[in-house]
Amino acid sequence: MRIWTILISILVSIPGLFVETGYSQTPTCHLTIRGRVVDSDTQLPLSGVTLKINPGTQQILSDGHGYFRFVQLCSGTRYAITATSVGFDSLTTEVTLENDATFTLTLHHDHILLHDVNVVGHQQTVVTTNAVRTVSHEQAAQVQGKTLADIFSTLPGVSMLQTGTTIAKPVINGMHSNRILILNNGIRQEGQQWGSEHAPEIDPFVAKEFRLVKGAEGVRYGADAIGGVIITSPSPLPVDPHLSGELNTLYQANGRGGILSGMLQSGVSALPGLAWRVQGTAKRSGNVRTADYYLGNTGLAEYNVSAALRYSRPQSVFDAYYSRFYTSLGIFTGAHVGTTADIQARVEAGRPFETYPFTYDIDVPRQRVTHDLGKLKWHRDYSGGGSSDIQYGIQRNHRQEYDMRRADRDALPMLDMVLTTQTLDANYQTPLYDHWRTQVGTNLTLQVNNNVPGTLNTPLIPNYDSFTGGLFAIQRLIRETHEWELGIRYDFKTFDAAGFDKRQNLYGGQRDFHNVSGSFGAVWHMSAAWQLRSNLGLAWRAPSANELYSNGLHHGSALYEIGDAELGSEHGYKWVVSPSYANGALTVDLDLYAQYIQDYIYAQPSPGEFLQTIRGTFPVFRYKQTDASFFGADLALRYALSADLDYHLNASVIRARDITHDHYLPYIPSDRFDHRLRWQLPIESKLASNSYLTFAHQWVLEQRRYEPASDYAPPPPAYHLFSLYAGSQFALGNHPLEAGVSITNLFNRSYKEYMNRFRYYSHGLGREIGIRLSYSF
Amino acid sequence: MKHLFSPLRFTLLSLGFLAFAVSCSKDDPEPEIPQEEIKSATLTFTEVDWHDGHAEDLENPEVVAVTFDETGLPPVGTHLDLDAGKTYRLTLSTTDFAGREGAEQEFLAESDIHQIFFLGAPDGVLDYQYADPENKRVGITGYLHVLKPSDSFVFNVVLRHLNKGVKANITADDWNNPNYTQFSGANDLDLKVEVHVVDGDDHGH
Repeated sequence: MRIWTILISILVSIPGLFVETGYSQTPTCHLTIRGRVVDSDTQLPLSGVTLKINPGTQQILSDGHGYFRFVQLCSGTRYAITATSVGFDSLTTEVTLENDATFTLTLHHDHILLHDVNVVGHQQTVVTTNAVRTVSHEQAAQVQGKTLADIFSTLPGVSMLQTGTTIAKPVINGMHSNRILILNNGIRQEGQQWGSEHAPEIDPFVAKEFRLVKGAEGVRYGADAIGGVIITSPSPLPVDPHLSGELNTLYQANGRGGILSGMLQSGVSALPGLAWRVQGTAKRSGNVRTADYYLGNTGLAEYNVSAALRYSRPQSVFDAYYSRFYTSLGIFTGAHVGTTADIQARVEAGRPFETYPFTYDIDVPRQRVTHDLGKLKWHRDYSGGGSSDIQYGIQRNHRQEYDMRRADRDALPMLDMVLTTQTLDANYQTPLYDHWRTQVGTNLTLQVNNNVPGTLNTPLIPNYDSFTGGLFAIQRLIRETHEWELGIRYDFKTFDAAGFDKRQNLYGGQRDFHNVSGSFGAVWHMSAAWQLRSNLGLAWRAPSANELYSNGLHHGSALYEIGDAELGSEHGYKWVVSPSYANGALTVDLDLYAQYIQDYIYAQPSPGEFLQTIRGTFPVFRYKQTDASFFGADLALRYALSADLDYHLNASVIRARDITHDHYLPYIPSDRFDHRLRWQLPIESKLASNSYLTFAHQWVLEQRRYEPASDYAPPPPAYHLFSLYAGSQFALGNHPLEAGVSITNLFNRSYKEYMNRFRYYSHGLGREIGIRLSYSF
Repeated sequence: MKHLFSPLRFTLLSLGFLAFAVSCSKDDPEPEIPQEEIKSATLTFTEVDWHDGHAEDLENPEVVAVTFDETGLPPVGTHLDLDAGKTYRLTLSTTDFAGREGAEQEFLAESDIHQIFFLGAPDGVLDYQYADPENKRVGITGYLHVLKPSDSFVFNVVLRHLNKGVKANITADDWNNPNYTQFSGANDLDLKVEVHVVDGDDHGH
């Protein structure tokens, strides 16, 4: 309650605090500057260019067609607009406004660093009335080498669901797995994401942009986008025919891990507009340590490659892309348990009974996953501003899970599944006509899951094929100070499953799902400093294969989970209100959300039901549906204490309940606060630049909202972690060398995180020291 | 090159991939016969003549056997009568997933990761010595000494599938260690049966 009071106080007080400093509250300030940013060489529009206006603190990015717009500007005032983008010389244009104005800003390639960086090209940006949060380059660099979930958890409202130290999934406002959507280079990531111990199969080194939409974007992206959308995108391919690239190396002391990632790219002089890129990452680490002991069998080996080809014409772009992700990871041996008695013994001990040495060896239990992704995309711009996209994607996810088995069968996987997914997406966006713009589109998904025979174990989920087809339309009204968006979508899904249970009885059948979803949102540019976004979205998902048909012992938790083949779809209504303020030294982004989920599916303990086997007795959990509510707030605040010193605060609180049965939901992140002080070191020179030192503190509260009967142990107590980050950019010849050091859990504190499913057996990671070097040429 | 970029061609090309690139329907499932579970287990108590730390077979020994099904329980109402003061050779035999006998040899073959614990008896009522071949200390064969009468109790026989390296921390004295869960691993067998220990031939039912 106290947390709510603080947040509400902050929300209520912010307008009052700063209303007098908002210069553009003046009623006469209603002029607009519109413009477009283009590449001087190719005359292609440039997206993602940062544009700032002074006076005032409006800072925007050019959209997918290079367009930008500043509103609420005052007549008679002399403004300076500065455009900056990696690989281009900054450009500042000054103008004294008497009326609305229109500009074309032509950016020239930076001749010194021309080949040192990625050249930003023609790329689609995320258009939505929801707030889009982006992980900054510096934040991403500080967690370089870690998982995708680690990268996104630097944003308020995102946490991680962990299975030990090697598996982490992103959690957005309490939602994860099939309730969030991950767009990997524009393609829906389709692995076996229903499993809490199945991490996204994405190499973060491929991506250069990490963006997050917390709203229910079910209309734009289709099923599963109930809790939000995670978007990872590589940088655009270069247009100039010079070989460039980068080399990243990283050493992590905890786990004695090393990472090597490299990239080469170039345009092709013989065929202007043609460009290519190849990239690869190798990662190897051994057993990691908590504050006091090693965690046995937590080694990891990961090898990834990708290749991209782009052919750009003045009005169209053709993309081809392929990536392979391969990982082999160990699962903490001490979490291999038999019965609830085993877990209770470990809960009582609070740490492993055995001691483990350091080793790079990966033994059972372990996972081996290969994920291939191929993509073809065609984009076309039409005169007047309309555009269309057609995209085909194919993914093949091969997951093998190995466990300790009897009679020398350790080398035989317990689970061996191949999931093949094909997607075809097409959409058309009309030109802006009298403030109106329409987008229509379709998404088709064909998915086949097959268990590879020969595991000598009953598969956890059946073989299935499914087809999903969706049609959507989004209407936008774009005015000077406000934008409105209304969307509607229809989806059809057919799901046909067949499998044999442990008694060799055939089960499965066909299920059809129909769904109409919608969204309604608005953006209000209240002043140069204030902006308000609000979006109400309805998203849905069909029950996943494990929720329908699982019938087996759950790995690592000694629970027997039983699905329900009659489960219906889940529908989520999420309302997000995002006021933001940026003026002078202060920037505030707040996301307030309320979500109601009808027919929320989760495994609930079945009262009094136990499964008696020759191996012991196991509690039975059954997948059931209920209605659930989620309320919460995420705050990101930045305050410049001086020219060199910044303070950042991220805070997230969430309250979730099963409102049908009036009790708490399991695995909801506890309240957490991250704040950091960043000092820009005064050592600017020709050799070194952008040097900084950041001291960070994370405070994670105890989760007091849980049902004791549904868990083996109460949530762990609150904990504090301190971290230190430092970085600098050096000039190595004409090329930049970026170096950084990070020390997380600085004081080597022993702690447990509620959202780690292995918290029964072990503590969280101890001190981690990482050293990274990144060289671009 | 230009022709490749006509929207119609691209759409048709993409649809072509969608339809033909891979099989569009699932494979027919193949039944997997789970081979991880033991189908049944039998505990056999054979009376022996125990003296000077050695056992000798009797001509007409008392033999008591109980069989557990796939739930780990004996038939309803089953109980064992053991005589105080006697020593029994206790052997475990199991059948595999297909009901074939001799599956217990697998535990002897992997003796470095298997050990049986005998639990549930009140203090001082039972003593046990592992007697597997080559001193493997698994508990497939052993001697159970019934020391004194007691109230009936649930005799719990747990065959532990230990994590690698754990057995080095276990001794023969741990045969009835109630904290056996501290020896990390999982259970291959968890058998429970009611036992009555009586004086001589005074079998109470």
